[in-house]
This record gives sequence, structure tokens and C-alpha cells, in this order.
Amino acid sequence: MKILIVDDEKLARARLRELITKIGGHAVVGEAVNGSNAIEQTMELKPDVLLMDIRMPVMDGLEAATHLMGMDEPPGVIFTTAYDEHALEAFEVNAVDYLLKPIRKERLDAALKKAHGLTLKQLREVNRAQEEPTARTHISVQLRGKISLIPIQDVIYFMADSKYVTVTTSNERHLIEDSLVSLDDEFGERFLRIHRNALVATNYIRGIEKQPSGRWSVLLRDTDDKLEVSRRHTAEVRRWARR
Amino acid sequence: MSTSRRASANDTTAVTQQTGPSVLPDLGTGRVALSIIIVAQVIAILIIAGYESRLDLNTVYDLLLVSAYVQAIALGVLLMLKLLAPQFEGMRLGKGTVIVALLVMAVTVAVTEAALFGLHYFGVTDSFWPQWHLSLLVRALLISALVVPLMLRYFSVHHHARLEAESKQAANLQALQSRIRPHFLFNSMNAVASMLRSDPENAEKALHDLADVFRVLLADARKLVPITAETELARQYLEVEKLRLGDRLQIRWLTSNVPRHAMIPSLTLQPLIENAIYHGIEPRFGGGLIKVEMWREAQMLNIMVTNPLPEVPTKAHNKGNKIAMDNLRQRLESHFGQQANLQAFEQFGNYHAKIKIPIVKD
Repeated sequence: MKILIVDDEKLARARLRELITKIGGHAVVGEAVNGSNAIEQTMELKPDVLLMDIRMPVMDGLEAATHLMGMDEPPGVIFTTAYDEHALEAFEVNAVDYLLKPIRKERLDAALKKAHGLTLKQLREVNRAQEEPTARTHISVQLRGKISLIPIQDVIYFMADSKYVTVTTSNERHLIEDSLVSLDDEFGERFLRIHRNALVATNYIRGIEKQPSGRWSVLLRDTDDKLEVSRRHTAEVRRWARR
Repeated sequence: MSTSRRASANDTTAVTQQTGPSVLPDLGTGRVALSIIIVAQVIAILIIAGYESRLDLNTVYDLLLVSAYVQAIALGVLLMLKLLAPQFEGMRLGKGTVIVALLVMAVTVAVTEAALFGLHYFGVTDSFWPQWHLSLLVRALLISALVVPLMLRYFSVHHHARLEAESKQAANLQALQSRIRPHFLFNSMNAVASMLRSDPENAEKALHDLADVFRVLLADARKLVPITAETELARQYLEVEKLRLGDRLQIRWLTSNVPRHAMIPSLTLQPLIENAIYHGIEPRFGGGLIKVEMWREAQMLNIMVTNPLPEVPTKAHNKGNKIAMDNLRQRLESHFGQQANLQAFEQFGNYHAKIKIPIVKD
């Protein structure tokens, strides 16, 4: 099997590599140091299985696994973790593969033998079981079967039309699969609802402006787009702007 | 980055005390039932002991009769509690006592009337309304009214003693867990395991450092130690972390004018550094610099640990951090009272934790 090792600690990666060599019959195709790095490498190296730590900088393992589910043929994922009471309980319940550090050879062997793909449902359940579910750090966009990641701090606004939701940054615009309601739930702290169909990142708001029509618009940094504020959200947006 | 999600794994949730000392405990338990039956029997024996002047077969007969009567009331009370216990739970003790007492008295009246009716029905007594009817009722009600508050008081004290013991145990565990982060322990062991073959010498050294750190973490955290011992502990701890984090962890010590023989509470500096690594270095892709500053200011010793904030804002003040800081704050206060303080603040993208304590010499 082709294996990708994902851990932010060098010695932890070295240990896995050593154990895999001892077990034999597998090939370590690469190493990644965090979640977003793991996604890049997965698309490039097409591993069968990821051995992935949970707590990592930039993007953690659970989030990376969630984004990977968007691939046409997502790899199997085995989480490796030192200690994470809540995640482990959730893994047990949802039959997600995991290994506890320090990792034993026999356990690793057994896990690799039965490694299987995760489902988005499993990951959602795991996330729901966390004591304080946290927002993703990136939005994933699928382009021709590939996954491209947009850091949440680059997102200027989300806009919904009848069928799709688009995400806009200073230089790109993409269709995404999330619904506006779920985005509002997840990232509510960063974004302001200005219209039934629009969520705007508050730190990109430059100001608000009254249009000749009497409606208000939101002016944004890094883009010339002006977004209309709906009548229902006017009071809230103006209250926000006065702060 | 989901620091908060991770960190919460290190905490035991405190036993929440849903019931204050002035609240009725659960009266539907087996333990309460058993106590009621025993107390009822004791009352029956006391009645006979206080009433009979002779001791013969009649005494036994009387005791059986009174026992049957009192136990019938007790069973009635048990039945009543079984049905109504959920309603009482959480009720204020004063109000609850009055209500339970009234209900027990009602049961007493009902059982007494039923008993008298039975005696008459089976021809034991001539009239359904014998002369002693009223006096029996009054005495029975008096005993009920006196015994119920005493028993409720007992149940409530007993219940809260147990709750308190449990929450104390949870607090101790929490204090210990705030000192020993399992995350650190297991990751370090994993790192040592990976070095055993390739670099046995450093693996051995790391194990010794780890052992020393844990010896202190497990020891009594209430004692004062020389500041040199505390900085040595921090150094050993950092050696282990350095192993895991490599170049991502940079450290700079700045000390000025610190008396070598000053005594500080054990585990003052190490938890601050551990927090700085867990919340400041690990979540950052490139790691960062931790600054440890110690300086003297008149008769006060200042210790400040600074770490960069994570690039992606996290809910920084999560529970794990808070418990460690609260624990340290409490220990400082128990040593120095108002003289010591622990502050934490963010400034220019950095997080600072600062301790100020009086200089104590051995």
C-alpha cells in the first residue's frame, strides 16, 4: 500500500516510517507536516492510506480528512494521536480507525490491514461529539476532481443564488457545496449577514453607503463589488457599522 | 486551528453540584427506605420501653402489635415517597420538610384509621370509635411530626457529605491533570521511542529529563523551592519539548538581578512555559520564540513568559489553559496572599503571562 505520513513532529514521522519498514510490504510515498500540506501531497502522490496526527498547526487532521472526502477517490485515513479523550470516544462510536502514541508495530500492522475510507457522515459525527466544535480554517473547492483550499481569512463574502453558493476572495470566485445556513452556523463570528443570500466577512467591510434608491450597500476592501443590504438586515448592519 | 477542541480533552469537568446544602436530597433511594424501616422499628421499641413497667410475654405481644402498627405507617410513607420523590428533589429544605412532614402525618392518620377499622371489623375492639382513638392519633401525629425533620436533616447532611467528598476528589484530579498534560507525556514517549535505535544516547538523556520532570509534577506542589531548582526543571522540560518540536521551538532567557537563593513555589515557571508552547508554538506552522524574563524590582520578583499568538485566531482562553492558570493563581495566593499576582495579557501579537511575588529567602 502507498502510505502518506502526516505529523508536525519530525520524530513522530520518523517512528512511523521505521515501523512501516519493519512491517514490510508497504511504501511510504511522502510526509506532510500539517493538514493542508497533507491535502496537497495526497493529490500529487495519490496514497492509499494516510497516517495522520490530529493536533497540527495551520490545519488539523480532522479538518484535512473532511476536505479529502471531496476527492473522487478519497484515501483511507488512520488517525494517530497522543491523547484526545473526546475525539477517541467519537472514533470508537463511529468506527473510525485510530492509533495511540507511542505507536506499537502490531497495532499499526493491524490498522493498515483493515484500513478503509472514511465517510463524511463519520467525520461529522466525530466533529459533533467534540466539546467545543470549532470552525474549519479553510473552505475547500473542487476543481476538476482536485481540491483547492481557501483560507477562511481570505474569504470576503459568500453569496447564494437559487442553486449555488459562491465564495469570493480578492482574486477568485468559486462554487462551493456548503449551504449559506451551515456557513453562517460555522463561521458566524467572522461574518455578518447582510441579506438573505449574503454573508460578508466583517474585517473586509470598509463602510456602508446609502444608494439613491434609499437602500444601503456594503463597501468592501480588496474588491469593487458593492453588496446590497436587504431591508430586513439594514438595522443590524447599521448597528454593526456604528460600533 | 482547533486548539480549543484539543485542549478541552485535558480537563475533567468539575462535578457540578446541582444540590446545595439547603436542598432536599433524593428520597426515593433504597438507602432512605432502609433507614425509614429501621427508624420505625426503633420508635416501636422505644414506645414499649418507655411505656411498659413489666417484662413478660405481654411485653412481647405489645411490641409486636406496636411494631406492626408503626411499620404499616413506615410502609405507607415508603409508598408515598416512591410515588412523589421526583417532585421533592431539588426543593428547598425548609419548605420540603414541612411538606414531607404533612404528608407523613396524612399517611399516619390514614394508616391509623385503617387499622382501627380493621380491628373493629375483625371484632377485636367493640367500637370503631373507642375512647383512646383521639389520644392514639394525637400521639402518633406528634411522633411523626418530631421524627420527620430529624430524618430529613440526617439524609440531607449525609447526602452532602458524599457530594462534597466526590467534588473534592474531582478537584484533586483536576489539579493533577492541569499539571500533567497527557498530550505532553504521550507525545514525548513517542518521540523517545523513535530515537531508541537511531540515537540511543539522546533517548536515554531524554528519558532522564522526562523522569525528573514527572518527579516534580507528581510531588507536592505546595512547597517552596530555590529558584535555581525551578529554572532547572524548566530547562529539562524544554529539552524534552525541543526534541519533539525541533527548530520550531526557540527559547530566550533574560534574567537580571535575580537573587540566587530566592525561594519560589514549586511549579511556577514550568506551567507558564508549557502553556506558551501548547497555545503559542505548537499551533504555529513555523513555531516561534518563547521569552522567559526574570527580574528583581525592590523586594519583588517578576517572572514573565511571552509567546507569539497563533496565526489563525483560536479561542485562546480555553478551559485547559484556564485550569492551569487558576491552579497557579490559587497556589500563589495560598503562599503570599494579596502580595502575589498573576496577570495575562495580549500585546502586539504576543501573549504574556506575568507573575509577581515577594522575594523570600531560605
